[in-house]
Amino acid sequence: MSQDSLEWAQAMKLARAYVRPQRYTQRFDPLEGLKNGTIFPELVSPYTPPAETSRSHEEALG
Amino acid sequence: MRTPINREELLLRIQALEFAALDLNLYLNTHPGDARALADFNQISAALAQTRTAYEQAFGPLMNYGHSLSCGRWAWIDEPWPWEA
Repeated sequence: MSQDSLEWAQAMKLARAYVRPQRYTQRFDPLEGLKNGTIFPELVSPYTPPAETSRSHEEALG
Repeated sequence: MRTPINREELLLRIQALEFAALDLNLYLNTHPGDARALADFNQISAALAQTRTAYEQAFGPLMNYGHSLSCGRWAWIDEPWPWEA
Protein backbone atom coordinates (compact mmCIF):
# COMPACT_ATOMS: atom_id res chain seq x y z
CA MET A 1 0.00 0.00 0.00
CA SER A 2 1.43 3.39 -0.96
CA GLN A 3 1.90 6.25 1.52
CA ASP A 4 -0.96 8.05 -0.21
CA SER A 5 -3.36 5.13 0.41
CA LEU A 6 -2.27 4.85 4.07
CA GLU A 7 -3.19 8.48 4.68
CA TRP A 8 -6.51 7.87 3.03
CA ALA A 9 -7.13 4.84 5.23
CA GLN A 10 -6.37 6.77 8.43
CA ALA A 11 -8.80 9.53 7.54
CA MET A 12 -11.59 6.99 7.06
CA LYS A 13 -14.26 6.29 9.66
CA LEU A 14 -15.25 2.74 10.54
CA ALA A 15 -18.35 1.14 9.03
CA ARG A 16 -18.55 3.59 6.13
CA ALA A 17 -18.32 2.70 2.45
CA TYR A 18 -15.85 4.67 0.33
CA VAL A 19 -14.97 5.03 -3.30
CA ARG A 20 -11.61 6.71 -3.77
CA PRO A 21 -11.63 9.26 -6.56
CA GLN A 22 -9.73 7.96 -9.57
CA ARG A 23 -7.20 10.17 -11.34
CA TYR A 24 -6.51 9.48 -14.99
CA THR A 25 -2.78 9.19 -15.61
CA GLN A 26 -2.25 6.31 -18.04
CA ARG A 27 -4.17 3.76 -20.03
CA PHE A 28 -3.61 0.46 -21.81
CA ASP A 29 -3.44 0.10 -25.55
CA PRO A 30 -7.04 -0.81 -26.62
CA LEU A 31 -6.21 -4.49 -27.29
CA GLU A 32 -4.46 -4.78 -23.94
CA GLY A 33 -7.46 -3.12 -22.26
CA LEU A 34 -9.87 -5.58 -23.86
CA LYS A 35 -7.81 -8.50 -22.47
CA ASN A 36 -7.66 -6.98 -18.97
CA GLY A 37 -11.30 -5.96 -18.78
CA THR A 38 -10.35 -2.35 -18.13
CA ILE A 39 -8.50 0.40 -19.96
CA PHE A 40 -7.04 1.63 -16.63
CA PRO A 41 -3.95 -0.29 -15.39
CA GLU A 42 -4.64 0.74 -11.76
CA LEU A 43 -8.01 -1.05 -11.87
CA VAL A 44 -6.65 -4.46 -12.89
CA SER A 45 -7.49 -6.73 -9.99
CA PRO A 46 -8.06 -10.37 -10.95
CA TYR A 47 -9.79 -12.44 -8.29
CA THR A 48 -7.96 -15.50 -7.05
CA PRO A 49 -9.88 -17.28 -4.29
CA PRO A 50 -7.68 -18.33 -1.34
CA ALA A 51 -7.40 -22.14 -1.23
CA GLU A 52 -8.40 -22.21 2.48
CA THR A 53 -11.63 -20.29 1.94
CA SER A 54 -12.84 -22.40 -0.97
CA ARG A 55 -12.30 -25.64 1.04
CA SER A 56 -14.25 -24.44 4.09
CA HIS A 57 -16.95 -23.23 1.69
CA GLU A 58 -17.24 -26.76 0.29
CA GLU A 59 -17.45 -28.13 3.84
CA ALA A 60 -20.18 -25.67 4.69
CA LEU A 61 -22.13 -26.87 1.68
CA GLY A 62 -21.72 -30.45 2.93
CA MET B 1 0.56 -1.39 -34.02
CA ARG B 2 0.60 -2.68 -37.59
CA THR B 3 -2.42 -2.16 -39.84
CA PRO B 4 -4.96 -4.99 -39.47
CA ILE B 5 -5.41 -6.85 -42.73
CA ASN B 6 -8.06 -9.52 -42.39
CA ARG B 7 -11.70 -9.55 -41.26
CA GLU B 8 -11.03 -11.16 -37.90
CA GLU B 9 -8.22 -8.78 -37.05
CA LEU B 10 -10.28 -5.74 -38.04
CA LEU B 11 -13.24 -6.94 -35.95
CA LEU B 12 -10.98 -7.49 -32.93
CA ARG B 13 -9.56 -4.00 -33.38
CA ILE B 14 -13.12 -2.57 -33.51
CA GLN B 15 -14.07 -4.48 -30.36
CA ALA B 16 -10.98 -3.20 -28.54
CA LEU B 17 -11.60 0.40 -29.59
CA GLU B 18 -15.29 0.15 -28.62
CA PHE B 19 -14.29 -1.17 -25.20
CA ALA B 20 -11.68 1.57 -24.70
CA ALA B 21 -14.27 4.21 -25.68
CA LEU B 22 -16.80 2.66 -23.28
CA ASP B 23 -14.35 2.66 -20.36
CA LEU B 24 -13.24 6.25 -20.98
CA ASN B 25 -16.93 7.20 -21.36
CA LEU B 26 -17.67 5.81 -17.88
CA TYR B 27 -14.68 7.68 -16.42
CA LEU B 28 -15.76 10.93 -18.08
CA ASN B 29 -19.28 10.57 -16.67
CA THR B 30 -17.81 11.14 -13.20
CA HIS B 31 -14.84 13.31 -14.31
CA PRO B 32 -16.30 15.55 -17.04
CA GLY B 33 -13.57 18.17 -16.56
CA ASP B 34 -10.61 15.84 -17.22
CA ALA B 35 -9.11 17.30 -20.40
CA ARG B 36 -6.67 14.44 -20.93
CA ALA B 37 -9.32 11.74 -20.68
CA LEU B 38 -11.51 13.76 -23.03
CA ALA B 39 -8.68 14.08 -25.59
CA ASP B 40 -8.05 10.32 -25.41
CA PHE B 41 -11.78 9.58 -25.71
CA ASN B 42 -11.99 11.72 -28.85
CA GLN B 43 -8.86 10.16 -30.31
CA ILE B 44 -10.17 6.64 -29.70
CA SER B 45 -13.63 7.52 -31.04
CA ALA B 46 -12.06 8.89 -34.23
CA ALA B 47 -9.95 5.74 -34.61
CA LEU B 48 -13.08 3.63 -34.06
CA ALA B 49 -15.04 5.48 -36.75
CA GLN B 50 -12.10 5.12 -39.14
CA THR B 51 -11.68 1.40 -38.41
CA ARG B 52 -15.42 0.78 -38.79
CA THR B 53 -15.41 2.52 -42.17
CA ALA B 54 -12.42 0.46 -43.28
CA TYR B 55 -14.20 -2.75 -42.23
CA GLU B 56 -17.48 -1.83 -43.92
CA GLN B 57 -15.77 -0.87 -47.16
CA ALA B 58 -14.01 -4.24 -47.28
CA PHE B 59 -16.58 -6.60 -45.72
CA GLY B 60 -19.99 -4.91 -45.77
CA PRO B 61 -22.21 -3.20 -43.20
CA LEU B 62 -21.80 -3.85 -39.47
CA MET B 63 -25.18 -2.38 -38.56
CA ASN B 64 -28.53 -1.93 -40.28
CA TYR B 65 -31.57 0.37 -39.99
CA GLY B 66 -29.64 3.45 -41.10
CA HIS B 67 -26.46 3.09 -39.07
CA SER B 68 -24.30 1.82 -41.96
CA LEU B 69 -24.21 2.80 -45.63
CA SER B 70 -24.69 0.17 -48.32
CA CYS B 71 -22.99 1.48 -51.45
CA GLY B 72 -23.87 0.21 -54.93
CA ARG B 73 -25.98 -2.74 -53.78
CA TRP B 74 -27.89 -4.02 -50.75
CA ALA B 75 -25.23 -5.87 -48.76
CA TRP B 76 -26.92 -6.37 -45.36
CA ILE B 77 -28.32 -9.79 -46.37
CA ASP B 78 -24.88 -11.10 -47.42
CA GLU B 79 -23.39 -13.80 -45.25
CA PRO B 80 -21.66 -14.09 -42.87
CA TRP B 81 -23.62 -11.87 -40.51
CA PRO B 82 -21.42 -9.48 -38.52
CA TRP B 83 -21.85 -11.62 -35.40
CA GLU B 84 -20.96 -14.80 -37.32
CA ALA B 85 -17.79 -13.43 -38.90
